[in-house]
Amino acid sequence: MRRQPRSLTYRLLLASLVTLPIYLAATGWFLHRSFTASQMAAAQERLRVQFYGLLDTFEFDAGALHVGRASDPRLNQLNSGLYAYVHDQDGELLWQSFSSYSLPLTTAAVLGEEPAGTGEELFEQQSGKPPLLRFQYGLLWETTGGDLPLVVTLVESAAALAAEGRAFRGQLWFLLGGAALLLTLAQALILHWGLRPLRRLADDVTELEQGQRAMLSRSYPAELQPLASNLNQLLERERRQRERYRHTLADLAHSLKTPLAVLQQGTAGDVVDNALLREQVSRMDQLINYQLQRAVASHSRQLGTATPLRPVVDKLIATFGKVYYDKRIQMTVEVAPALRCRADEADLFELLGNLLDNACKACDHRVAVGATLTDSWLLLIIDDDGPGIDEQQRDRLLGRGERADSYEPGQGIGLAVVMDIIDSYGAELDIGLSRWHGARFTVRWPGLT
Amino acid sequence: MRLLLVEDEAALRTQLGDQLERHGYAVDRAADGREALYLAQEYDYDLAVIDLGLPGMDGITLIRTLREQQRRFPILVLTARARWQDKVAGLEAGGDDYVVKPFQLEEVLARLNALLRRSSGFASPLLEFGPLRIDTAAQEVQVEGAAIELTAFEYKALLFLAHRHGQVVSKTDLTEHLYDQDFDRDSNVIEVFIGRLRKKLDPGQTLKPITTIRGRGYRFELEPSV
Repeated sequence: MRRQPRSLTYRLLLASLVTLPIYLAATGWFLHRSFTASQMAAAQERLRVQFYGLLDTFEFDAGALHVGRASDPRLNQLNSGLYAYVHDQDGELLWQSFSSYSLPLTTAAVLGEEPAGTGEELFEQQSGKPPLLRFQYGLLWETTGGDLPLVVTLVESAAALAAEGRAFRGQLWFLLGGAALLLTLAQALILHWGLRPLRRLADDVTELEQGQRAMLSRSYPAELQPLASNLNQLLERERRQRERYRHTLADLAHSLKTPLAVLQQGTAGDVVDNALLREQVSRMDQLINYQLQRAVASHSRQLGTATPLRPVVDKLIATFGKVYYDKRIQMTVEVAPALRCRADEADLFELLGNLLDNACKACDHRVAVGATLTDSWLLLIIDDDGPGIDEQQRDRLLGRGERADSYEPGQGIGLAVVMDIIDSYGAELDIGLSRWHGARFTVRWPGLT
Repeated sequence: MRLLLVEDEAALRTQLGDQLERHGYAVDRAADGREALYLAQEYDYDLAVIDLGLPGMDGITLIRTLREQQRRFPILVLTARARWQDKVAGLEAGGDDYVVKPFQLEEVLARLNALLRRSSGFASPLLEFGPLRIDTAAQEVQVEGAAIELTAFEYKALLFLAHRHGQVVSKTDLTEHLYDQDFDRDSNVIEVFIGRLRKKLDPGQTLKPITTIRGRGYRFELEPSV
């Protein structure tokens, strides 16, 4: 069993529901990362300023380091969150801020595994309890007794920083979540609005099915209009076909009544008039032929594919070469192989077959069939070198609007069928003078490809 | 002329077959394609009339198969479908002409006549061999302008030989192509007929249109005038 394809709404929603979270998560991650990076850079800068401030208060007296009252009061306050240490080259503690007495850090923890060398700056975050930021700078202090290498370490509690980060994350996810919700909602609305014409079309088709409407009369967006137009054409074609069948049936029944009446009269007595019988039977046969041909012509103008012209012409020419063998007709074909005609193949056979048959009957020994392409027409031209057709006859042959059952035996079913096909395709037929001053039938075919 | 008639409708087969026999054809009847193919293998036909709407193997396939088997006799296509597409299909398969049902017998006869002429290379219904003229349309024979009265059988024999002018035609060929299946095939009868035909056409024995090739058959000696 074939599964029904998922609905368009489902597809579009699923696609956006999959891509939206990925996109939002990536955005959140990048924002958070850059926030943390800028937070750390700011902290480093702050500690560097502290360091220089502290350095200002350094004094050496008789080989001992004296540190003046620091600019930042936090250094002189227990548990303030800012602590300072000065070590010498050997890791000997030379000085520590008053605040640092509340911080139980070993010398190794303060100095780190590899203390900063001269002119070197270190900065890192230590994840511990509590989290700490450690800033360290190695310097060479010039004293009268020679240069003294010192390592200055500033330690700051990172608790505030972490809290800030938490607050930022909270806000970030809240905003992104809100955005996701809004976007999904908007997506749903867009889908609803965007697919509305499709739903309307489906509703209209349902109404068509139920017979509540005959046509798709509303206008649809450009993407759907061709579908709607084609559907309309299909419906129209079907309706016309139905009508044609009805008419054909009625025409046939009516047209058969006349010969039947004649037969009824003619066979009323005891003597059967064979000539009359024959004549009326042949008339009935011709009527049936004519109506049958009208009925089977498919008249599929709008949706019919374009039929290549050349093969049809070639096959007909081969046929007429056999049928009119004795006339030794010289047949010329002037049809480019690429030409196509927007007509059903059977109709094209019927149209050209009848015209060529007439030409072969009328000609002396030459028949030509040609096709040319103009801007909006395909011209089919059939020439013969027969006696030609005079003006009065032309009008009679091209006469339109005649009732189908007014057809008289002997006038040739062929041209009646030709006219029928030509009318149904919106084509035109002209009768003129051929290159050999015989008859020329020109069919102008519309909507070529 | 031996003719193969393939038509599935019994009434039409009988009727048309009888009428063709009345007009001088030796007719073999087949009701479907298989029977027709069998007959075509057994006998050498001069003509075939084939209906397109056959049960089982359709007419188009039958015609195509016959042509593939190198049967070159002319084929007249009978069709109930008057559409050009159908007629073209019949002739494309190998048919030589068509008649649309229902038809007049005269139409069929005229077409068969034309096909026969065509297959022996004559363009017009008038076959001329020097002083001898055979009008196949009117079925009349003249020698030096004088009409010759021939029986139906004599006419058939003359036409058969004339269509094969310059070729040796055996007595068997003649009986096969001129008689129906069940007819008496005594070769003496043929000799008598040919003798009578010679006398009628050439009473002074100057023209000598038909010569006897001993042990092999007859030959029509006159050359067609162009």
